[in-house]
Amino acid sequence: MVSGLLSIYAFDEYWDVSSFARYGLLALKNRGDNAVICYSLKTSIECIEASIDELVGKGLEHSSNIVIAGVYNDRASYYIDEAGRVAILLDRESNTNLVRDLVEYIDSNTGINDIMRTLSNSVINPPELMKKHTGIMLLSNSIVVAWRGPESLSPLALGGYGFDMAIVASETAPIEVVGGNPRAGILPGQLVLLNKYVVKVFGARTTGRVCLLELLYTARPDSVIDGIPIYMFRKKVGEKLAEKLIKEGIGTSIDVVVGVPETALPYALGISQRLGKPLELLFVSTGVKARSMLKNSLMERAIAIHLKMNPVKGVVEGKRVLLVDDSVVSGSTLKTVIQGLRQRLGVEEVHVVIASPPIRLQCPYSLFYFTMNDLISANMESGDMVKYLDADSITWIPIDVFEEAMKSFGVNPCFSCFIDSRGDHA
Amino acid sequence: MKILLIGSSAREHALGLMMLKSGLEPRVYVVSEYRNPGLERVAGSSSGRIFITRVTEPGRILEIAEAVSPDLVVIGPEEPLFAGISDTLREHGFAVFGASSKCAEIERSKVFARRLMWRHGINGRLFYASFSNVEDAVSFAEHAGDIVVKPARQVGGKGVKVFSNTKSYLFNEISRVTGEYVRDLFSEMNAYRDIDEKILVELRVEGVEYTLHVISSGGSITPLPVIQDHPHAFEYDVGPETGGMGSISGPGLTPPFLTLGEYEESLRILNNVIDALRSEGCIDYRGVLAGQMMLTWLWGPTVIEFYSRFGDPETGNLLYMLEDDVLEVFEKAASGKSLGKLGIRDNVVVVNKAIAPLGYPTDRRLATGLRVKVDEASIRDTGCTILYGSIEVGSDGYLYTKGSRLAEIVCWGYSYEEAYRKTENVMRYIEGEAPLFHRGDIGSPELMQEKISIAEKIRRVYTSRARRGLLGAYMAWVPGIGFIENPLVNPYMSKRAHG
Repeated sequence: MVSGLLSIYAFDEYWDVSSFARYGLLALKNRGDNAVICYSLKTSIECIEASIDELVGKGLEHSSNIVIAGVYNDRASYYIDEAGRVAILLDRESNTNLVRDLVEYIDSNTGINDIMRTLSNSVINPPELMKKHTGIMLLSNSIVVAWRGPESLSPLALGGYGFDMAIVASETAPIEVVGGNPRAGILPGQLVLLNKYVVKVFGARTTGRVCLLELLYTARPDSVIDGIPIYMFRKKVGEKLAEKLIKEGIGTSIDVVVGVPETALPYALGISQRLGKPLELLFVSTGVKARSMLKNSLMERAIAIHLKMNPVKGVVEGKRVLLVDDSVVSGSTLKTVIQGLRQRLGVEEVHVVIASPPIRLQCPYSLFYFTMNDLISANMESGDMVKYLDADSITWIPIDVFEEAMKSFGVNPCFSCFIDSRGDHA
Repeated sequence: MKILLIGSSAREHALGLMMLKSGLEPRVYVVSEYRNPGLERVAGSSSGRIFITRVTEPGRILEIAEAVSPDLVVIGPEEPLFAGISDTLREHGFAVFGASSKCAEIERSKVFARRLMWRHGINGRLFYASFSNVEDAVSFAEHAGDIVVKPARQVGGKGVKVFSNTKSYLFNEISRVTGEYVRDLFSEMNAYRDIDEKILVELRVEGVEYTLHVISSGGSITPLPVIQDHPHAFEYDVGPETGGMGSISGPGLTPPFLTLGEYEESLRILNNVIDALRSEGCIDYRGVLAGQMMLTWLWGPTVIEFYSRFGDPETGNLLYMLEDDVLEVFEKAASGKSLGKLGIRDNVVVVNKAIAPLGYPTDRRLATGLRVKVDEASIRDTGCTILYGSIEVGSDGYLYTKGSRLAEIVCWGYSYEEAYRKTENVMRYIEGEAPLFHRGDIGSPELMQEKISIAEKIRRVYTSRARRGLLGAYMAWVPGIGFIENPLVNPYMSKRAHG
């Protein structure tokens, strides 16, 4: 599942951070619609599970100077013990035994001094849950531990608000939305202790992995993930794609570039600027902006797509259109859009360009739920796909070009779901 | 030369070590409030002596001075200056390196400092409002927006809170906390009878902070290299304000984030302040004046506050930054002689890191009375220096914490990478019975890069505004009211602040 984590820690009790948490959660809505929020109360911890809209709409029930919270595109993955002494939020589902092991490992009865020692050791030899996951743990003695496992692919960042708060979040934008300043990325194998007495990052700054779809799709364009400004990254990928299109002769034989909203727009902009062809904003969305790829049922996904696709009139009629999307799962979005372009808007040609390599395998970390059956690229050759989509051509970014772009940003992401496409028709 | 050094902490330990290097055959007598192991050694190794007593009682200090009969008195901390120790000793004919109480007003009263800057039109002044009535302060601060709330008097670098109230959707909560905090701070400040206005509200500015010290002899001044302190308690500039968790300096006059032009402008500001002080009762500034500066969009070099003495931890950096005999300079300044230019090592950088017990700065009790072991031999082998701060020799001969930063580790190198590595390696030679903490990020090349890029952004703004004649200017437009040139004058408020 895809998730977003958040902790807001005010060092003194003047603050009730629940209004900060509301807007922090809202700022993580790109990562899911379901939320859980856990408050550090006088003697125990209490967690509330609801949709973000409910939490934001009615306001939060408790006031506290310390909260941890998470958003999920599925049921929230969290744990709270019966006595309300420990709450753990994870980036994705886990095995309850591993959770129990961690609770035993971090004995919630001990004070800050012992926790410091435990954490120093856990950097060297982390318990399984801290190895595989990114997570946030709240203890009833006002201690928060956020970690990014050496094998986890979910990012984490640290920020501050004045002299008064430390903020941890999956990406940097929520830190800014609550008025804070992002200060550092927490890298794989690092963990951060938040406490009135000390905020400390444990573990060396090594370059670790992050899910490629995090950079391509999940993160907000206004976030910085592991030092990569997401908007700039996506534009750069667009430029690389444009260079490939020029080589293949498509770049010069189109009239206009359009992007599938919202995520594909920075790619489309990068391509348009590199090709010197105009970018048009062709689609207007209705109601809330939903993220189709994070929907888990086909029907929900279709609704999300259809609601953001009402086309602007008179822009593309009779033109040769370059249609940009960030990725292709089942191809249903593309099919819908292309039908609209041809039948309702009367375009001359539709050339599809995709800002990622074909997704060929299921995510081995179950961050995304696509099964082999869902994946059009796992089941169809490019030639058939062009016919099915009713497109004139389809172009993917080759994985080696991609790696080049990645290198210029100094990251080494997880390619697992794309890996089968190396050296193939891409 | 017989010196009487007044003060108890790492700053005085650093001053002691610097003076010991002098060719004037120093004999250092120390007045300290507790048995600081570093100061004991400074006194012991130069055939001086340490007196343990409060450093803010003029009568007692005079007695000691008369018994020691020093050629020079050097006063480290600000409180003895506020208490008039320098005045009393001067009246009795002692040569004193330390600002008079009149001159130290620039630090003691933050309202005086702001007012002085505005009255004399000195660059780098911030918009402010000050209050002697709690209700006025509360209702003003609740609506003032993006502000910093400060105690109007120097209280050991504490009590400052930043209320960045820039998001309308968080206004109510931030405004509520601002009001409550102002109320609490006000009643705390009521304990200080030596000020009328208790609270200062200033425009919040963001940027890169740095400290510039000058030594003044009354007639002339000589500048020291720029040193950067790090006020946040925790790594990556997170957490409560402290007296300073570490400082960096070099190579040469300014760290890489500051231009020579900005250094010169900062120096001009301090010069102008000393001139302004002269017209307001501080005839002879003999001691140290430091500007705690920030590079901001509003002015470029901007004054956050003043010190009337050396900063701590900044003083530790001077150990390796200066080429000249500082004792000679202190002596000249104390006796009003003209000061030459100080020799500064131009190829050296210095990283100085404070180490503190858990509990500092929010819970001093937790941070007090903990036994600490220091492996001095190993530290010496690294070529670094340990400065003892808030730590004392107990009656059993062991070292115990006193609640604040217990020591500073000062290392130099030819690059930040080198000096940074050295300090990080030395930290393991200090062990407490409970965990100690320091900031692993201070001095790192990554943090330096970050500061450089922030400075570049701010430089672009203020130089552009300077070109358009807007340096220091603030303009707001309120429908129905018109232009407002002070962001802190709130048109919706009926009550007016002093300003």
